[in-house]
Amino acid sequence: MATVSLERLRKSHPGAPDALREVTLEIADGEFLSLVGPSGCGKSTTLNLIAGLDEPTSGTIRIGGREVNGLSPSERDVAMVFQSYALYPHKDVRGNLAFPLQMGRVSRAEIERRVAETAALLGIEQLLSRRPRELSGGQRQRVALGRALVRKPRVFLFDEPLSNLDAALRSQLRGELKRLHATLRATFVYVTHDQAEAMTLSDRIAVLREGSLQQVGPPREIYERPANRFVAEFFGTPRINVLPARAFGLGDGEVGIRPEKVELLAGPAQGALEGTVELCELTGAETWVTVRTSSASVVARGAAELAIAPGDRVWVRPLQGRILRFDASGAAQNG
Amino acid sequence: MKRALGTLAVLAFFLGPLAWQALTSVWPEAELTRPLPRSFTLASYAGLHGTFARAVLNSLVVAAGTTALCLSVGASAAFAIAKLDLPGKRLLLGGALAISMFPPIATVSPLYLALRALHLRDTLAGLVLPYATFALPLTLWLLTSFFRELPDELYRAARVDGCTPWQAFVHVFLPLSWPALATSAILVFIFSWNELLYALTFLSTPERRTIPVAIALFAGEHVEPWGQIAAASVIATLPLALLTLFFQRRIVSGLTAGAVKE
Repeated sequence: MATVSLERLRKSHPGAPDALREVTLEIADGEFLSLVGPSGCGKSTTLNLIAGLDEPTSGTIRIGGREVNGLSPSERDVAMVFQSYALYPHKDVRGNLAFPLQMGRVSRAEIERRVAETAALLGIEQLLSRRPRELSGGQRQRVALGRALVRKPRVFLFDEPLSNLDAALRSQLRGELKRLHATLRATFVYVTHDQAEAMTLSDRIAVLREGSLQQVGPPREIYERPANRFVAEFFGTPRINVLPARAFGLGDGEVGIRPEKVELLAGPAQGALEGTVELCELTGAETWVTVRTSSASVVARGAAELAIAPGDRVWVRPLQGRILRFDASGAAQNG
Repeated sequence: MKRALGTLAVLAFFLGPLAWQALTSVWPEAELTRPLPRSFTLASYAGLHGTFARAVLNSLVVAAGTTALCLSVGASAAFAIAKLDLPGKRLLLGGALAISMFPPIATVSPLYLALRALHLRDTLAGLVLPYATFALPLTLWLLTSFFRELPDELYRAARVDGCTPWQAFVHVFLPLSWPALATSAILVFIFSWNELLYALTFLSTPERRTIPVAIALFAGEHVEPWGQIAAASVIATLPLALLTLFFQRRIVSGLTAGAVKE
């Protein structure tokens, strides 16, 4: 187990904007940290740099306190799980699990023992003599996971490992990953573009945008106290409502209010905005109501059994103390 | 009916000459002027000397040597071009293509001088080298497109699992590439098996002649031994035909590798 620390990490490609701009990040021993952001934000680049699949233009990477710049992936003692599973098609499951050990010159008896142990941990013992193409997506990802586990590396790297799976399987494997992390207590660095996945899995989330770190913190903090408008809009579905601050008489800049922090009222009230219902979306447990006000559209959460229809006149009011304020540059303002 | 006629026409066009050659090889010498033979004989085959057996052996050595050289150089180069961060890889591929555009006849004299300087003139190794340079571009392009088809994540996985780039090539990519290797091997083999110009120019000792040279030199000043030429051609064609039949699916899938997404 080990800490991972990135110090002023920069990666540039000739003729393109920097993929990574001076990213500094400390990942604690045994932590589950997610790197999140839209595609092209530099999250996969960061993962490749930690793995040693790519070298930074400048900056230092330390694993367990030791500088690993210039070391090959195998010398860094990290394992990686890929989005496409990247299993070796010509080897059966046993061969796939054994491969990293064979490369590490582990004795045959030890390989056998570790493969059996890993297969038991993941419940794939009965698949050991199958080829990857004979496995379902979920089984393949379990084998890929096993191939990472079998080496007992100090750091696990995940590159969108669940993106290729369907929704039901994804949430099942999400649970397994979380349990696995609790069992192993190893350092997990997890890349995803799925904010919900990051929220449910992580101890901490690092949000990247265009190669720059926007905010690092526990999921709750990221959600409730986003550092800027970008982070606020990236997390949460439906998206946070952003309105001009003037609408509430709060001066310049903009305000953000989470849809579940907006009250729907049948009549005028102090601090409420008047509007017309544009859209009602029932999700089963609740209804998301889009209200057209004079300044912007606002999404509010209503009860599932709410008797409301497009065209109705309603009032929306943010819950007390739940307004986030952003200045003209989009940065969050305290207070 | 119309389709059957069309098929027949195509078959006749491609197989006709081969059939005629096979027929000629069993046609008695004395009846060659007749429109069709009255009897068949294996005399032409019996008349082939030990020197022709030697030529078959020489051809086998040269073709196998060229194939081995081409594949070992071509596969590792193609892997590096397709999967590694190699500066100038486009230049390399383009250069290989440009080289293959040279008409062989234009290179005969410089090659002759080069081989003489290397003391490789009139040796089988002296044929393998120029053959390989001519067959390598095709191998390189074929294998590069094949390796590009294999996902990059496979390479990254191998690296993280502790492979050096060379080990990733040997343990992961080579075992996966045998369809493309088989295709390249057959094409290179056929090319070297059939080559006449260089073999005729660079070899002078009769014992080192390859099949095409041997057949070309069957004709004497006063005789054209058609029966023997035909018999020798059949013997030369047979292994290729069998090889190709055996691997034909592989060849087709190898040639179209990279053409369409699966």
